Amino acid sequence: MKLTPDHIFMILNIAGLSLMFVNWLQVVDTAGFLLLLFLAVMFVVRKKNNHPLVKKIIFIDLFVTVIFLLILDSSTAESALSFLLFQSMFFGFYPVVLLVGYHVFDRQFSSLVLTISVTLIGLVLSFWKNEWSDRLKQRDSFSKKNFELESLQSELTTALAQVEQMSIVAERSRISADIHDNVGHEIVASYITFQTVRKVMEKDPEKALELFDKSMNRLNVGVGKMRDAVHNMSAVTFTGVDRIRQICENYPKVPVIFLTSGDMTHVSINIWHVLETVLNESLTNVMKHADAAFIQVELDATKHLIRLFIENDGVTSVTSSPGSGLRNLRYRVVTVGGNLTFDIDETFKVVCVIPIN
Amino acid sequence: MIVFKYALLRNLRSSFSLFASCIVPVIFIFIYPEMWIYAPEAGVSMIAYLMLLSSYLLVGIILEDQIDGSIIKILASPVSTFSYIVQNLLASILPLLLQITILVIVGQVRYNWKTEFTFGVAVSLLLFAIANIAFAFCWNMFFKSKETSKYTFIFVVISISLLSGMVVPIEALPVFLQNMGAVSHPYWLMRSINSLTLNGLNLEFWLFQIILILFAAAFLILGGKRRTI
Repeated sequence: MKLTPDHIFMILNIAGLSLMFVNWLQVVDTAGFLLLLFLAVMFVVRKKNNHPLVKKIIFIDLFVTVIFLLILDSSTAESALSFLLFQSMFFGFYPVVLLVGYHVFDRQFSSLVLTISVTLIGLVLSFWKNEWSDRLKQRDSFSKKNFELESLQSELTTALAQVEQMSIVAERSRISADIHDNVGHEIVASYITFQTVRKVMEKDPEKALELFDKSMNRLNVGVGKMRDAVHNMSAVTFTGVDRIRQICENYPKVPVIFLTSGDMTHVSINIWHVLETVLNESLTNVMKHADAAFIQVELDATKHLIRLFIENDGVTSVTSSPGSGLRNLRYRVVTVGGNLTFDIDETFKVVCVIPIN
Repeated sequence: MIVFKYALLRNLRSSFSLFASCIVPVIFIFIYPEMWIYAPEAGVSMIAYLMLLSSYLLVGIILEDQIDGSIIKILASPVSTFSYIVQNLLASILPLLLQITILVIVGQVRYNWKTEFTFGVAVSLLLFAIANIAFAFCWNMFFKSKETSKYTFIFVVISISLLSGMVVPIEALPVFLQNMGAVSHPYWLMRSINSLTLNGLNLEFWLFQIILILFAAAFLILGGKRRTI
């Protein structure tokens, strides 16, 4: 259990009430016990209810205690004033010290010291509590922001997967329509003509030859349209493993050795995007902070995960904590369920493992 | 008042609870007539002692509800926690009110008590009964096991009844223990009855009643926390 100002306050209150009870045992007056019990009940009420207004009922305690002191002249009331002063300081009702202070100076020196001590303790606890509350509020605020960011990230990841799926479906429809509209008509027409050629071949060979040439022409046109369709379908920019290879080939300082293994056809676009970011950031770091003579990038895919391994020999300093860029990278990898680790030994290694499904 | 009705029925169905909270005190009121006539404060203290013990049996149904999980079903219905607690406590206090009524009627009619004394006893015992029920309720709220709650309660009740002068006079205790019982409500009942016997209904007597009310309030506030239900 973490010790908080509220715990200390509660313990000191119970100790105060106990001391007042021990003090009461020396006089055993009914009024004194009545006051003691009243203060205990009010303390429990305040303890049970956290509403700020409830704290203000300490003025009722003060009022009742002053009445007991002035009218019934109860010795317990004198101790109670110090007790209430302590509580008032804790709740931040600092002017109370002026109300009670006038009486304190009439009392013995030891009582004065006790009262000043409990007032100071109350003040210190009050400051501690304020700092504690501020820190809690700050932590809550950070937690809220973090939660919002995580929610946003999660929504974006979901949206990305949906967009990817929709793009695939749209592209498939477009290909289907292209083949049907352009290539399909020509092939079907040629097919029908070839059937006619078969029928007229024996009766009218010249006519059959003419039809055969027409069919061949139509097929030729169809093949041309298919070539055009395939040409239109091919991607303008590189994606997937090709993009990774392109990044490695375009690295300007030193040649990057790029090795791949495994079947990468079932790796989704968003995972490729994360891998590309990891590679870009790693190579940029090498360019900025290290004088590497050797860089190797390995990409291995299995049925369940894909692993990107980047190694360079340009270690300039040995540090155990990653920088903000690498921390952000780790965060991005974690959001897609993967893991990013760094190892600094003779070479600097970055290993990124992401589950495919 | 459906909770009140069934809490009362449950209390009455328990033969041991009925026997301890109603029959034994009523029998006790009718035996030892000399004591009731010449030293009624001794009889009242014994009745109070029985009330202290039986209050646990009467309030025990709240703890039973908590342990067997019935409380979850009850609070899932449109019954607030406050209403549930108040109705249960009312049902628990009813048998105690019955024995107080019988005691004051029998005391007034059969043992010729003074009206002032009868009234004072009625008020003191009524407030004591409320404080008792609140005490047993508060005690139960600190425990999750019925056995632990029961045996520690008995231990505490025996201790406070000794320290408060219910069983033996306070003067018979060692000096340093004579006023230690002030932290318990029975001590103030005994002082209230002694004051009533010696001085009648004076200011001191009413101060004792206020202390009993404050004890009841403290117990109810301590015990009435929602999470413990």
